[in-house]
Amino acid sequence: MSEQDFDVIQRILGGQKRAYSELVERHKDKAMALAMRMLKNRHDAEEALQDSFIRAFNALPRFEWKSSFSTWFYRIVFNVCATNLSKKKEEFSVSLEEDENNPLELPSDEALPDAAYESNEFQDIVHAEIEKLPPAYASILTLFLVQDMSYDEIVEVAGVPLGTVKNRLFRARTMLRDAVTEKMKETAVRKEKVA
Amino acid sequence: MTHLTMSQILQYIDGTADYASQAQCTSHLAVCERCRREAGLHKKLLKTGRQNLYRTSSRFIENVMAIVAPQPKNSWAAKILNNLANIFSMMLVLGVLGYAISAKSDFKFTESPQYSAMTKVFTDAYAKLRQSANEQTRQVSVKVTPGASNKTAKLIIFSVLALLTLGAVDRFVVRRIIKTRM
Repeated sequence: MSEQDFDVIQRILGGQKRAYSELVERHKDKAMALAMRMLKNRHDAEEALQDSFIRAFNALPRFEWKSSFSTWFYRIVFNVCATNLSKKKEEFSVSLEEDENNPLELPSDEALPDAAYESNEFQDIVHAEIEKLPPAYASILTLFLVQDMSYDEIVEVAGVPLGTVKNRLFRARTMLRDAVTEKMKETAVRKEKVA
Repeated sequence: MTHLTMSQILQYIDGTADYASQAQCTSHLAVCERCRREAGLHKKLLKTGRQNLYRTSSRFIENVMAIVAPQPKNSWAAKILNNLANIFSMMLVLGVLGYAISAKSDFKFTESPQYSAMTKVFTDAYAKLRQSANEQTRQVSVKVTPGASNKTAKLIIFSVLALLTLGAVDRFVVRRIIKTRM
């Protein structure tokens, strides 16, 4: 557990409720990334995040220090977002068949000039394509990339077995790679036509 | 040549491959342009994907804190006491200002009654300087404070300025300190 989080939590449990704003400040933006990638909507994401912070605050006296605050908190965010998705009747869980269906293992032979991957356009495409990934993949990828979590921490947050985490992460990265490469090619062709 | 699999490349980039696989990947990447390019692309995806572009709205923390730890509202007694304290402090500042203005007009320079022979030269020079300074002061004071009405206007201006200053200090300093400390 981060020492800073530990100190703040001790202060909150000691009666300084206003100290909770420090925890909110520290975790809100990264948690927002997770909520946005799962719910794909700014208003819903912020509402879910607010709900998560309130739930975390109320549950703080029962926090057992078994994991870091961030892992525990992201589990709350993950669950709140998953519940919101199921309320909207949107598919969150991935079917077993799809989950175990490994994509092609060989990298393709197509290539784009190196400069293309350094451009702002590339960055925009990457972020747009991550947003387009199905929530089950986008959430795992976000925990891995933005939250910089290990496989074990992702297992704890997402509540799925290690094999599933590895599989979804692999699929998410492959899907992202294919989508980004495709978009970059389209952009290159469009530029050629304009030129 | 057998190329590396996507899984091998990702494990190599993440550093999760075992030592033997890591060494195998390193030697393969040294000679295979295609796999090197693929590894480079995944590294760039990783680097770009780590950037977090999402920010909550500006009032997000305020909204959360308003629910989890709402600020207690002051009782009417506390409000009255707070207002009385403000009025008292304003009166104090205005009193000090008023005294400073009135005391200035009563101010008179008093001369030392004893002159020694040794300091006569200096005191004469000093007297001349003082005389010329007094002359100039008189000319200036005639221009600035021609009468009692001017003094009243000064008092009003000072009072308004003092009230504005106090209001600004209360609004932008005291309340902010109270808000952050509570």
